[in-house]
Amino acid sequence: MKQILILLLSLSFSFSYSQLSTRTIEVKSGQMEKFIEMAGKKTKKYNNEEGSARFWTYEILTGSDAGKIWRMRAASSEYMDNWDSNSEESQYWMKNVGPYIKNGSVNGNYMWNYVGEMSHNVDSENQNHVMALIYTYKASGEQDFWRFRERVVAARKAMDTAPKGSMHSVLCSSGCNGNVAIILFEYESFSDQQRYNQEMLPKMIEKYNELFGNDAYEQDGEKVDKALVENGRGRMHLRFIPEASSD
Amino acid sequence: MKKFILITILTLFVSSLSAQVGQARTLIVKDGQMAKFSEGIAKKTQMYNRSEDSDQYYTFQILSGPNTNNFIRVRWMESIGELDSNSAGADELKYWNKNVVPYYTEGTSRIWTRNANLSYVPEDSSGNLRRVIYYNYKDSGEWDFWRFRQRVRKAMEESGYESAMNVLWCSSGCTGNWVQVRFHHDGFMGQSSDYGEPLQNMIAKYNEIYGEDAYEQDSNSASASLTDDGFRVRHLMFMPDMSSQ
Repeated sequence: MKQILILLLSLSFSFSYSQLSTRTIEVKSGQMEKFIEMAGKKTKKYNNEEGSARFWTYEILTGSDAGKIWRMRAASSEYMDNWDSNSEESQYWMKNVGPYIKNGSVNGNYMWNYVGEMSHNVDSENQNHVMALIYTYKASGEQDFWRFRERVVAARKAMDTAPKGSMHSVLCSSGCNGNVAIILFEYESFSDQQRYNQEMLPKMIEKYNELFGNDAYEQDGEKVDKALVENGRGRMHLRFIPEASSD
Repeated sequence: MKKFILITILTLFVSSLSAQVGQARTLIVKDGQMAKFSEGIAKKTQMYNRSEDSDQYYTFQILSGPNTNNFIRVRWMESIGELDSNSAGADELKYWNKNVVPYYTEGTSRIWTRNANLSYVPEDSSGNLRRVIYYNYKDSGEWDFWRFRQRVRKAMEESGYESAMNVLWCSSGCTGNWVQVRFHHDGFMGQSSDYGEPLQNMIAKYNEIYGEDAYEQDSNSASASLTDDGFRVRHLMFMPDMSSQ
Protein backbone atom coordinates (compact mmCIF):
# COMPACT_ATOMS: atom_id res chain seq x y z
CA MET A 1 0.00 0.00 0.00
CA LYS A 2 2.90 2.28 0.70
CA GLN A 3 3.69 1.84 -2.97
CA ILE A 4 0.34 3.34 -3.92
CA LEU A 5 1.01 6.38 -1.78
CA ILE A 6 4.43 6.84 -3.28
CA LEU A 7 2.96 6.46 -6.74
CA LEU A 8 0.31 9.07 -6.02
CA LEU A 9 2.84 11.45 -4.55
CA SER A 10 5.05 11.05 -7.55
CA LEU A 11 2.10 11.63 -9.86
CA SER A 12 0.97 14.62 -7.92
CA PHE A 13 4.38 16.12 -8.22
CA SER A 14 5.12 14.92 -11.69
CA PHE A 15 4.42 17.66 -14.14
CA SER A 16 6.78 16.56 -16.84
CA TYR A 17 3.98 14.63 -18.50
CA SER A 18 1.12 16.33 -20.28
CA GLN A 19 -1.01 18.30 -17.90
CA LEU A 20 -4.73 17.84 -18.35
CA SER A 21 -7.03 20.77 -17.79
CA THR A 22 -10.79 21.17 -18.19
CA ARG A 23 -13.15 24.07 -18.71
CA THR A 24 -16.95 24.25 -18.82
CA ILE A 25 -18.38 26.27 -21.70
CA GLU A 26 -21.95 27.49 -22.05
CA VAL A 27 -23.02 27.71 -25.67
CA LYS A 28 -25.58 30.29 -26.80
CA SER A 29 -29.09 29.00 -27.09
CA GLY A 30 -29.67 27.23 -30.43
CA GLN A 31 -25.99 27.48 -31.46
CA MET A 32 -24.70 24.08 -30.35
CA GLU A 33 -24.37 22.65 -33.87
CA LYS A 34 -22.49 25.69 -35.08
CA PHE A 35 -20.28 25.65 -31.99
CA ILE A 36 -19.38 22.02 -32.57
CA GLU A 37 -18.68 22.66 -36.25
CA MET A 38 -16.39 25.62 -35.58
CA ALA A 39 -14.70 24.14 -32.50
CA GLY A 40 -14.10 21.05 -34.64
CA LYS A 41 -12.52 23.07 -37.45
CA LYS A 42 -10.25 24.84 -34.96
CA THR A 43 -9.28 21.59 -33.26
CA LYS A 44 -8.52 19.74 -36.50
CA LYS A 45 -6.52 22.72 -37.78
CA TYR A 46 -4.40 23.40 -34.69
CA ASN A 47 -4.59 20.44 -32.33
CA ASN A 48 -3.65 17.30 -34.19
CA GLU A 49 0.05 17.74 -34.72
CA GLU A 50 2.80 16.50 -32.46
CA GLY A 51 3.78 19.15 -29.92
CA SER A 52 0.42 20.89 -30.09
CA ALA A 53 -2.15 20.78 -27.31
CA ARG A 54 -4.78 18.05 -27.72
CA PHE A 55 -8.45 18.65 -26.99
CA TRP A 56 -11.37 16.34 -26.24
CA THR A 57 -14.86 17.76 -26.26
CA TYR A 58 -17.87 16.43 -24.37
CA GLU A 59 -21.46 17.53 -23.93
CA ILE A 60 -22.62 17.34 -20.32
CA LEU A 61 -25.88 15.37 -20.22
CA THR A 62 -26.83 15.49 -16.53
CA GLY A 63 -26.40 17.60 -13.43
CA SER A 64 -26.41 21.34 -12.89
CA ASP A 65 -24.22 21.90 -15.97
CA ALA A 66 -26.36 19.78 -18.32
CA GLY A 67 -26.30 21.16 -21.84
CA LYS A 68 -22.89 22.75 -21.45
CA ILE A 69 -19.63 21.68 -23.03
CA TRP A 70 -16.80 20.11 -21.05
CA ARG A 71 -13.55 20.57 -22.95
CA MET A 72 -10.42 18.76 -21.85
CA ARG A 73 -6.93 19.79 -22.95
CA ALA A 74 -3.66 17.88 -22.71
CA ALA A 75 -0.66 20.15 -23.06
CA SER A 76 3.01 20.11 -22.20
CA SER A 77 4.53 22.49 -19.64
CA GLU A 78 6.30 24.22 -22.51
CA TYR A 79 3.03 24.82 -24.32
CA MET A 80 1.42 26.16 -21.14
CA ASP A 81 4.32 28.55 -20.47
CA ASN A 82 4.23 29.85 -24.03
CA TRP A 83 0.47 30.16 -24.35
CA ASP A 84 -0.37 33.52 -25.87
CA SER A 85 -3.82 35.03 -26.22
CA ASN A 86 -2.60 36.73 -29.41
CA SER A 87 -1.38 33.54 -31.09
CA GLU A 88 -2.95 32.48 -34.38
CA GLU A 89 -4.60 29.54 -32.63
CA SER A 90 -6.15 31.73 -29.88
CA GLN A 91 -7.27 34.36 -32.36
CA TYR A 92 -8.87 31.70 -34.55
CA TRP A 93 -10.83 30.39 -31.55
CA MET A 94 -11.95 33.87 -30.50
CA LYS A 95 -13.00 34.84 -34.01
CA ASN A 96 -14.69 31.63 -35.13
CA VAL A 97 -15.85 29.85 -31.97
CA GLY A 98 -16.22 32.76 -29.55
CA PRO A 99 -19.39 34.11 -31.20
CA TYR A 100 -21.27 30.94 -30.27
CA ILE A 101 -20.29 31.05 -26.59
CA LYS A 102 -22.59 32.77 -24.14
CA ASN A 103 -20.92 35.93 -22.91
CA GLY A 104 -18.42 35.23 -20.16
CA SER A 105 -19.45 31.61 -19.91
CA VAL A 106 -16.15 29.79 -20.01
CA ASN A 107 -15.98 28.73 -16.41
CA GLY A 108 -13.16 27.61 -14.21
CA ASN A 109 -9.97 25.90 -15.17
CA TYR A 110 -9.23 22.67 -13.38
CA MET A 111 -5.94 20.81 -13.74
CA TRP A 112 -5.73 17.03 -13.57
CA ASN A 113 -3.09 14.33 -13.53
CA TYR A 114 -3.88 11.17 -15.47
CA VAL A 115 -3.41 8.22 -13.11
CA GLY A 116 -2.31 5.60 -15.62
CA GLU A 117 -1.83 2.82 -13.08
CA MET A 118 -5.43 3.20 -11.96
CA SER A 119 -6.83 3.26 -15.49
CA HIS A 120 -7.69 0.47 -17.91
CA ASN A 121 -7.22 1.30 -21.56
CA VAL A 122 -8.73 -0.91 -24.22
CA ASP A 123 -9.06 -0.32 -27.94
CA SER A 124 -12.33 1.54 -27.64
CA GLU A 125 -14.47 1.94 -30.72
CA ASN A 126 -17.63 4.03 -30.81
CA GLN A 127 -17.56 4.30 -27.02
CA ASN A 128 -18.81 7.86 -26.96
CA HIS A 129 -21.15 7.59 -24.00
CA VAL A 130 -19.28 8.35 -20.79
CA MET A 131 -20.24 7.94 -17.16
CA ALA A 132 -18.10 10.03 -14.82
CA LEU A 133 -17.95 9.13 -11.14
CA ILE A 134 -16.71 12.09 -9.13
CA TYR A 135 -15.25 11.41 -5.70
CA THR A 136 -13.89 13.64 -2.95
CA TYR A 137 -11.91 11.63 -0.42
CA LYS A 138 -10.46 12.51 2.94
CA ALA A 139 -6.68 12.72 3.17
CA SER A 140 -6.86 9.88 5.67
CA GLY A 141 -8.83 7.79 3.17
CA GLU A 142 -6.38 8.03 0.29
CA GLN A 143 -5.06 4.49 0.57
CA ASP A 144 -8.47 2.85 0.89
CA PHE A 145 -9.79 4.84 -2.03
CA TRP A 146 -6.99 3.98 -4.44
CA ARG A 147 -6.63 0.37 -3.32
CA PHE A 148 -10.15 -0.27 -4.59
CA ARG A 149 -9.42 1.44 -7.90
CA GLU A 150 -6.18 -0.47 -8.34
CA ARG A 151 -7.98 -3.73 -7.72
CA VAL A 152 -10.80 -2.88 -10.10
CA VAL A 153 -8.18 -2.36 -12.80
CA ALA A 154 -6.60 -5.73 -12.01
CA ALA A 155 -10.00 -7.44 -12.09
CA ARG A 156 -10.97 -5.83 -15.40
CA LYS A 157 -7.67 -6.91 -16.94
CA ALA A 158 -8.17 -10.47 -15.71
CA MET A 159 -11.68 -10.84 -17.16
CA ASP A 160 -12.07 -13.50 -19.85
CA THR A 161 -13.81 -10.97 -22.09
CA ALA A 162 -12.42 -7.47 -21.79
CA PRO A 163 -14.85 -4.56 -21.44
CA LYS A 164 -15.38 -2.73 -24.73
CA GLY A 165 -14.78 0.70 -23.24
CA SER A 166 -11.85 2.10 -21.30
CA MET A 167 -11.84 3.30 -17.72
CA HIS A 168 -9.78 6.42 -17.04
CA SER A 169 -8.78 7.82 -13.64
CA VAL A 170 -7.78 11.46 -13.19
CA LEU A 171 -6.80 13.26 -9.99
CA CYS A 172 -7.28 16.99 -9.56
CA SER A 173 -3.96 18.78 -9.20
CA SER A 174 -5.19 22.37 -9.11
CA GLY A 175 -8.48 24.22 -8.83
CA CYS A 176 -10.52 21.74 -6.78
CA ASN A 177 -11.54 21.84 -3.16
CA GLY A 178 -10.27 18.72 -1.46
CA ASN A 179 -8.92 15.52 -2.99
CA VAL A 180 -11.08 15.13 -6.07
CA ALA A 181 -10.78 12.18 -8.45
CA ILE A 182 -12.89 11.42 -11.50
CA ILE A 183 -13.27 7.93 -12.94
CA LEU A 184 -14.53 7.95 -16.51
CA PHE A 185 -16.19 4.82 -17.92
CA GLU A 186 -16.78 4.55 -21.66
CA TYR A 187 -19.82 2.86 -23.22
CA GLU A 188 -21.70 2.98 -26.51
CA SER A 189 -24.96 4.24 -25.06
CA PHE A 190 -27.19 4.20 -21.99
CA SER A 191 -28.48 0.74 -23.02
CA ASP A 192 -24.93 -0.48 -23.48
CA GLN A 193 -24.11 0.76 -19.99
CA GLN A 194 -27.14 -1.05 -18.62
CA ARG A 195 -26.11 -4.21 -20.44
CA TYR A 196 -22.59 -3.93 -19.02
CA ASN A 197 -23.97 -3.57 -15.51
CA GLN A 198 -26.18 -6.63 -15.94
CA GLU A 199 -23.74 -8.90 -17.73
CA MET A 200 -20.15 -7.75 -17.25
CA LEU A 201 -20.13 -6.09 -13.84
CA PRO A 202 -21.02 -9.31 -11.95
CA LYS A 203 -18.16 -11.04 -13.80
CA MET A 204 -15.77 -8.27 -12.83
CA ILE A 205 -16.83 -8.56 -9.18
CA GLU A 206 -16.39 -12.31 -9.34
CA LYS A 207 -12.89 -11.85 -10.73
CA TYR A 208 -12.15 -9.22 -8.04
CA ASN A 209 -13.09 -11.67 -5.28
CA GLU A 210 -11.19 -14.46 -6.99
CA LEU A 211 -8.04 -12.29 -7.04
CA PHE A 212 -8.30 -10.60 -3.65
CA GLY A 213 -10.35 -12.94 -1.48
CA ASN A 214 -13.95 -13.76 -0.68
CA ASP A 215 -16.11 -10.65 -0.28
CA ALA A 216 -13.09 -8.43 -1.00
CA TYR A 217 -15.14 -6.32 -3.41
CA GLU A 218 -17.76 -5.57 -0.80
CA GLN A 219 -15.25 -5.01 1.99
CA ASP A 220 -13.06 -2.73 -0.09
CA GLY A 221 -16.12 -0.88 -1.34
CA GLU A 222 -17.20 -0.22 2.24
CA LYS A 223 -13.78 1.20 2.99
CA VAL A 224 -14.16 3.53 0.03
CA ASP A 225 -17.49 4.71 1.45
CA LYS A 226 -15.72 5.60 4.69
CA ALA A 227 -12.84 7.23 2.83
CA LEU A 228 -15.12 9.82 1.25
CA VAL A 229 -16.09 13.16 2.72
CA GLU A 230 -19.79 13.76 3.31
CA ASN A 231 -21.54 14.07 -0.07
CA GLY A 232 -18.23 13.09 -1.60
CA ARG A 233 -19.78 11.06 -4.40
CA GLY A 234 -21.20 12.48 -7.60
CA ARG A 235 -22.09 11.14 -11.02
CA MET A 236 -22.68 12.69 -14.41
CA HIS A 237 -23.04 11.48 -17.96
CA LEU A 238 -21.22 12.94 -20.92
CA ARG A 239 -21.43 12.58 -24.68
CA PHE A 240 -18.03 12.53 -26.34
CA ILE A 241 -17.97 14.63 -29.52
CA PRO A 242 -15.23 13.21 -31.78
CA GLU A 243 -15.81 15.79 -34.53
CA ALA A 244 -14.81 18.57 -32.11
CA SER A 245 -11.86 16.66 -30.65
CA SER A 246 -8.28 15.87 -31.59
CA ASP A 247 -7.88 12.63 -33.55
CA MET B 1 6.55 17.42 23.02
CA LYS B 2 5.41 20.15 25.39
CA LYS B 3 8.65 21.99 24.76
CA PHE B 4 8.05 21.80 21.02
CA ILE B 5 4.50 23.08 21.42
CA LEU B 6 5.66 25.98 23.56
CA ILE B 7 8.40 26.90 21.12
CA THR B 8 5.95 26.76 18.23
CA ILE B 9 3.43 28.97 20.01
CA LEU B 10 6.12 31.49 20.87
CA THR B 11 7.54 31.39 17.36
CA LEU B 12 4.15 31.99 15.76
CA PHE B 13 3.14 34.67 18.24
CA VAL B 14 6.37 36.62 18.47
CA SER B 15 6.92 36.56 14.74
CA SER B 16 3.38 37.79 14.11
CA LEU B 17 3.91 40.93 16.18
CA SER B 18 6.20 42.45 13.60
CA ALA B 19 5.26 40.27 10.67
CA GLN B 20 4.62 41.33 7.12
CA VAL B 21 0.97 41.35 6.26
CA GLY B 22 -0.96 41.17 3.00
CA GLN B 23 -4.50 42.36 2.47
CA ALA B 24 -5.71 40.24 -0.42
CA ARG B 25 -8.83 41.12 -2.41
CA THR B 26 -10.32 39.07 -5.21
CA LEU B 27 -11.24 41.26 -8.18
CA ILE B 28 -13.84 39.74 -10.50
CA VAL B 29 -13.48 41.22 -13.98
CA LYS B 30 -16.75 42.06 -15.71
CA ASP B 31 -17.62 40.23 -18.94
CA GLY B 32 -15.74 41.57 -21.92
CA GLN B 33 -13.79 44.12 -19.86
CA MET B 34 -10.49 42.27 -19.44
CA ALA B 35 -8.46 44.55 -21.72
CA LYS B 36 -9.68 47.76 -20.11
CA PHE B 37 -9.29 46.36 -16.62
CA SER B 38 -5.74 45.17 -17.30
CA GLU B 39 -4.72 48.46 -18.85
CA GLY B 40 -6.28 50.52 -16.08
CA ILE B 41 -4.79 48.56 -13.21
CA ALA B 42 -1.34 48.49 -14.80
CA LYS B 43 -1.29 52.24 -15.46
CA LYS B 44 -2.60 53.08 -12.00
CA THR B 45 0.01 50.91 -10.30
CA GLN B 46 2.83 52.28 -12.41
CA MET B 47 1.74 55.87 -11.78
CA TYR B 48 1.05 55.69 -8.06
CA ASN B 49 2.56 52.58 -6.49
CA ARG B 50 6.11 52.31 -7.69
CA SER B 51 7.89 54.63 -5.23
CA GLU B 52 9.17 53.34 -1.90
CA ASP B 53 6.88 55.49 0.21
CA SER B 54 3.72 54.59 -1.72
CA ASP B 55 1.40 51.72 -0.84
CA GLN B 56 2.79 48.50 -2.33
CA TYR B 57 0.48 46.35 -4.42
CA TYR B 58 1.10 42.94 -6.01
CA THR B 59 -1.33 41.48 -8.52
CA PHE B 60 -1.82 37.84 -9.46
CA GLN B 61 -4.02 36.31 -12.14
CA ILE B 62 -5.85 33.19 -11.00
CA LEU B 63 -5.12 30.24 -13.31
CA SER B 64 -7.26 27.51 -11.80
CA GLY B 65 -10.46 26.94 -9.84
CA PRO B 66 -13.82 28.71 -9.98
CA ASN B 67 -12.23 32.18 -10.14
CA THR B 68 -10.01 31.39 -13.14
CA ASN B 69 -8.91 34.49 -15.10
CA ASN B 70 -9.85 36.87 -12.27
CA PHE B 71 -7.29 38.53 -10.05
CA ILE B 72 -6.00 38.68 -6.51
CA ARG B 73 -4.58 42.08 -5.59
CA VAL B 74 -2.48 42.20 -2.45
CA ARG B 75 -1.58 45.33 -0.53
CA TRP B 76 1.67 44.31 1.11
CA MET B 77 2.60 45.88 4.44
CA GLU B 78 5.50 45.62 6.85
CA SER B 79 3.13 45.43 9.81
CA ILE B 80 -0.58 45.26 10.47
CA GLY B 81 -0.50 48.85 11.79
CA GLU B 82 -0.28 50.12 8.22
CA LEU B 83 -3.90 49.11 7.76
CA ASP B 84 -4.81 52.05 9.99
CA SER B 85 -3.65 54.43 7.33
CA ASN B 86 -3.64 54.64 3.58
CA SER B 87 -1.11 56.74 1.79
CA ALA B 88 -3.23 56.92 -1.34
CA GLY B 89 -3.98 60.53 -2.18
CA ALA B 90 -7.13 61.92 -3.73
CA ASP B 91 -5.64 61.74 -7.23
CA GLU B 92 -4.74 58.08 -6.85
CA LEU B 93 -8.20 57.16 -5.61
CA LYS B 94 -9.83 59.22 -8.33
CA TYR B 95 -7.73 57.49 -10.97
CA TRP B 96 -8.65 54.04 -9.58
CA ASN B 97 -12.35 54.89 -9.43
CA LYS B 98 -12.38 56.20 -12.98
CA ASN B 99 -10.12 53.71 -14.76
CA VAL B 100 -10.41 50.42 -12.90
CA VAL B 101 -13.58 50.31 -10.79
CA PRO B 102 -15.98 50.25 -13.79
CA TYR B 103 -14.46 46.98 -14.99
CA TYR B 104 -14.61 44.72 -11.94
CA THR B 105 -16.62 43.74 -8.89
CA GLU B 106 -15.14 43.09 -5.46
CA GLY B 107 -14.82 39.51 -4.24
CA THR B 108 -13.59 38.36 -0.85
CA SER B 109 -11.05 40.28 1.20
CA ARG B 110 -8.72 38.55 3.63
CA ILE B 111 -5.67 39.45 5.70
CA TRP B 112 -2.74 37.06 5.59
CA THR B 113 0.27 37.23 7.90
CA ARG B 114 3.58 35.93 6.66
CA ASN B 115 5.49 33.59 8.92
CA ALA B 116 9.10 34.44 8.18
CA ASN B 117 10.42 31.58 10.31
CA LEU B 118 8.61 28.97 8.24
CA SER B 119 9.13 30.64 4.87
CA TYR B 120 12.16 30.05 2.72
CA VAL B 121 13.44 32.52 0.15
CA PRO B 122 16.88 31.65 -1.20
CA GLU B 123 19.03 34.29 -2.84
CA ASP B 124 18.41 34.75 -6.55
CA SER B 125 15.17 32.77 -6.46
CA SER B 126 12.91 33.76 -9.33
CA GLY B 127 9.73 32.81 -11.10
CA ASN B 128 6.29 34.30 -11.58
CA LEU B 129 4.21 31.12 -11.29
CA ARG B 130 2.81 30.32 -7.85
CA ARG B 131 1.49 26.91 -6.88
CA VAL B 132 -0.49 27.78 -3.78
CA ILE B 133 -1.70 25.09 -1.39
CA TYR B 134 -4.41 26.19 1.02
CA TYR B 135 -4.75 24.14 4.19
CA ASN B 136 -7.35 24.26 6.94
CA TYR B 137 -6.18 22.33 9.97
CA LYS B 138 -8.26 21.15 12.92
CA ASP B 139 -7.47 22.73 16.28
CA SER B 140 -6.44 19.29 17.48
CA GLY B 141 -4.00 18.92 14.60
CA GLU B 142 -2.16 22.21 15.03
CA TRP B 143 1.11 20.75 16.22
CA ASP B 144 1.33 18.02 13.59
CA PHE B 145 0.62 20.60 10.92
CA TRP B 146 3.18 23.15 12.01
CA ARG B 147 5.88 20.59 12.88
CA PHE B 148 5.81 19.40 9.29
CA ARG B 149 6.08 22.95 7.93
CA GLN B 150 8.93 23.76 10.28
CA ARG B 151 10.83 20.66 9.19
CA VAL B 152 10.19 21.19 5.49
CA ARG B 153 11.62 24.68 5.76
CA LYS B 154 14.74 23.34 7.49
CA ALA B 155 15.17 20.54 4.95
CA MET B 156 14.79 23.00 2.07
CA GLU B 157 17.53 25.18 3.46
CA GLU B 158 19.86 22.29 4.24
CA SER B 159 19.36 20.67 0.84
CA GLY B 160 19.96 23.94 -1.02
CA TYR B 161 16.50 24.03 -2.59
CA GLU B 162 16.63 26.84 -5.14
CA SER B 163 13.01 28.03 -5.30
CA ALA B 164 11.11 30.12 -2.78
CA MET B 165 8.29 29.04 -0.46
CA ASN B 166 6.24 31.50 1.54
CA VAL B 167 3.97 30.49 4.41
CA LEU B 168 1.09 32.77 5.40
CA TRP B 169 -1.74 32.24 7.86
CA CYS B 170 -5.13 33.84 7.64
CA SER B 171 -5.40 36.48 10.33
CA SER B 172 -8.79 37.83 9.25
CA GLY B 173 -11.62 36.92 6.92
CA CYS B 174 -11.43 33.13 7.17
CA THR B 175 -13.43 30.50 9.01
CA GLY B 176 -11.10 27.93 10.50
CA ASN B 177 -7.33 27.74 10.61
CA TRP B 178 -6.45 28.48 7.00
CA VAL B 179 -2.84 28.62 5.88
CA GLN B 180 -1.45 29.15 2.40
CA VAL B 181 1.91 27.79 1.33
CA ARG B 182 3.11 29.47 -1.84
CA PHE B 183 5.69 27.70 -3.99
CA HIS B 184 7.44 29.89 -6.58
CA HIS B 185 8.32 28.41 -9.96
CA ASP B 186 9.74 29.58 -13.29
CA GLY B 187 6.59 28.70 -15.20
CA PHE B 188 5.16 25.21 -15.58
CA MET B 189 8.48 23.96 -16.91
CA GLY B 190 10.16 25.29 -13.77
CA GLN B 191 7.53 23.60 -11.64
CA SER B 192 8.17 20.37 -13.46
CA SER B 193 11.85 20.69 -12.79
CA ASP B 194 11.46 21.74 -9.12
CA TYR B 195 9.37 18.66 -8.36
CA GLY B 196 12.04 16.38 -9.78
CA GLU B 197 15.50 16.16 -8.27
CA PRO B 198 15.28 19.20 -5.93
CA LEU B 199 12.18 17.76 -4.24
CA GLN B 200 13.79 14.33 -3.93
CA ASN B 201 16.90 15.92 -2.42
CA MET B 202 14.78 17.84 0.06
CA ILE B 203 12.96 14.66 1.12
CA ALA B 204 16.26 12.81 1.48
CA LYS B 205 17.63 15.63 3.63
CA TYR B 206 14.44 15.63 5.72
CA ASN B 207 14.85 11.93 6.44
CA GLU B 208 18.54 12.39 7.15
CA ILE B 209 17.80 15.08 9.75
CA TYR B 210 14.65 13.67 11.34
CA GLY B 211 14.99 9.93 10.85
CA GLU B 212 14.18 7.27 8.29
CA ASP B 213 10.70 7.68 6.79
CA ALA B 214 10.18 10.85 8.85
CA TYR B 215 8.98 12.74 5.77
CA GLU B 216 6.28 10.21 5.01
CA GLN B 217 5.22 9.87 8.64
CA ASP B 218 5.14 13.61 9.25
CA SER B 219 3.33 14.38 6.00
CA ASN B 220 0.75 11.70 6.86
CA SER B 221 0.27 13.30 10.30
CA ALA B 222 -0.03 16.72 8.69
CA SER B 223 -2.64 15.36 6.26
CA ALA B 224 -4.55 13.80 9.13
CA SER B 225 -4.55 17.16 10.90
CA LEU B 226 -6.66 18.75 8.15
CA THR B 227 -10.41 19.21 8.09
CA ASP B 228 -12.30 17.23 5.43
CA ASP B 229 -12.27 20.14 3.00
CA GLY B 230 -8.98 21.53 4.26
CA PHE B 231 -6.87 21.02 1.16
CA ARG B 232 -6.99 23.12 -2.00
CA VAL B 233 -4.46 23.84 -4.72
CA ARG B 234 -4.58 26.87 -6.96
CA HIS B 235 -2.17 28.24 -9.53
CA LEU B 236 -1.57 31.98 -9.78
CA MET B 237 0.55 34.06 -12.14
CA PHE B 238 2.34 37.13 -10.78
CA MET B 239 1.66 40.13 -13.05
CA PRO B 240 4.72 42.45 -12.87
CA ASP B 241 3.12 45.22 -14.95
CA MET B 242 0.24 45.44 -12.49
CA SER B 243 2.48 45.37 -9.42
CA SER B 244 4.81 47.59 -7.40
CA GLN B 245 8.46 46.82 -8.04
